[in-house]
Amino acid sequence: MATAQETLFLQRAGHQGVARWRVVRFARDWPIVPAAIIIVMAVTAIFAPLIANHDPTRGNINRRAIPPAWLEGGSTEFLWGTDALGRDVFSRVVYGTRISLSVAGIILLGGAVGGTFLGLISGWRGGMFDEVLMRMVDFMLATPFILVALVVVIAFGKSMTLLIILLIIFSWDSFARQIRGETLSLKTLDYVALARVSGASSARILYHHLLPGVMNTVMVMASLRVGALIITMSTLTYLGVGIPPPTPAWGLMVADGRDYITTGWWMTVFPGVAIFATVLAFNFLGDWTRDHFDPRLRQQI
Amino acid sequence: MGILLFASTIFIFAMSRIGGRDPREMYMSENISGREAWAALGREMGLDRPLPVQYGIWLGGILHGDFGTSAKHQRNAMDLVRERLPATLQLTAGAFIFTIVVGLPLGVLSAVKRGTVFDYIGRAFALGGQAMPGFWLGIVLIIVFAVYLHWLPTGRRGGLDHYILPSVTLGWATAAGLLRLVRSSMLEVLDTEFVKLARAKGVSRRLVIWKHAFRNALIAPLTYAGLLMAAFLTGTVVTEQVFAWPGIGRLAIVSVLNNDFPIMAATMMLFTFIYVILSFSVDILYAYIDPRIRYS
Repeated sequence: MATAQETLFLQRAGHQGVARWRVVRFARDWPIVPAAIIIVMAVTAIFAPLIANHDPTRGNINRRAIPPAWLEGGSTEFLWGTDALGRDVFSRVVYGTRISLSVAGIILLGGAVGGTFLGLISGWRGGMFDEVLMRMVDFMLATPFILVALVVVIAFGKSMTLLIILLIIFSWDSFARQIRGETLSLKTLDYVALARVSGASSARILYHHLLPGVMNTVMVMASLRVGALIITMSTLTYLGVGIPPPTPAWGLMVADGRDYITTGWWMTVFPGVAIFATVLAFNFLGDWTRDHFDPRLRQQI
Repeated sequence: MGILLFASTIFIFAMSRIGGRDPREMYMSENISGREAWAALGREMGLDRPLPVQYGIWLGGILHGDFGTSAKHQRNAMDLVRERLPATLQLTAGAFIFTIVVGLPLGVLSAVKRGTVFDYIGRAFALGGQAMPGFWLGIVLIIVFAVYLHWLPTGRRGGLDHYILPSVTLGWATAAGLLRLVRSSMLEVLDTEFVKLARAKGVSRRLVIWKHAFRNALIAPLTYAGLLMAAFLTGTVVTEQVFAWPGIGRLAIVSVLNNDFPIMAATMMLFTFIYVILSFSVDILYAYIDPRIRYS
């Protein structure tokens, strides 16, 4: 892998001239900027109460629609201005980081664990179980998720738990399919047969011999999925069927600010920038992770 | 294919009844109008019968193209859908044109002129398209081009200028996807022996790019086109909501939020139908273009 990448790099270098400065080359080979953004986001999420200088859910009628600090009429007390209900935009975006990252994390964990588990068993056992599960995956992948989510959420009522369950149900499928494929090829290898011969149980083989072999793929897939997941979450929230108000979720803030775009652009722009920066950083990091740890996936995703 | 459609009718029906929201709520409230009228309306709508029978009657209607009458609009649901469909199709066409006109050339350019300004523009465009949620992109475009610059209208249907912002909003993400695909498959083809041979024997660079490489590089994106169209489906829901566009997507979400069952069912079934048709035709196209893939 290293040699292939070196040659690739040399070819590229031939095209564009070798990067003379070490810093430049370092920045090109390592995802510094995206990693920095994600670290800042994570710190913001963890220490939200310390960073936000206002209560994210409590508004004040007397300070509605104050522009950002650098505009006329703005004050440094409300760095990014206030929204139509007088809530501090900066504090809401800060708390929104917490919501977005934690919810996305839970969903991803659920989807990855469930999908990996089912994929491993499906690939290992084969037969009816495999057949049924793969048909189910086809079915799930062919379903327009947002529409299903709309109908389900309206039927059961808005709640954070429902949103999380729904998104987990719709994110295990691609994991299951990919891991099943890997398991199919892994289980024909000699070391698995040897484990079998020496008397290892199926559960032991799955856990000790196959799971480590697919872990790489799971990690790479998970890192590639974060961005799309955050977008889906915020889209549902924007449409009014995601995270219920008054929770300071980014999608909700954009939806709330939609009616005031002529008078207060800051209400929609800042939460949107937060989504954009987060997703961009995660996408970059995901691509980098894939190229470094599992270049084969490039073909399949 | 048929199974998927059938399953979705069951799903839609089940979801409309499970939630505990009574279809009668659209017309009246139990508290206000009294038990008698409430029960009478229930009989009229067939709500006193067992659920499977209700489902059967409803399914029978659907098969005849009758989704029932919307209580909110006092109109037949199918008529409403038919009336709104052109708006959505025009919007989708606009987005499709944007996708092709921007995604394809930019993809080829960034592959051919790799590492140059074109490549960076292309990649920035692609990364942006994949990281910006559609609803926010739409709002930012409105703020910049409609509210501040006054160049374009903020939304609703109208002359040609009304199409620009919604089309860009809907098409950006798909254009980004197409760009990435074209770029990577173009790079792959440019690296093959026959392209190198063509160059070596003296065929001009332009001819090699457009005749030898481009044609071969198009196979993968072509099969992907159906999926791109499918992406438009959920995209229209969001885009029409942002631009107050009187199409199916907006009709769907408003009906869902109002619990307007006939319209909800009609729009959802239409979306599922289009979705199924698209993924089915992608499979066929795939087998047709690549003979190695055969479905037994």
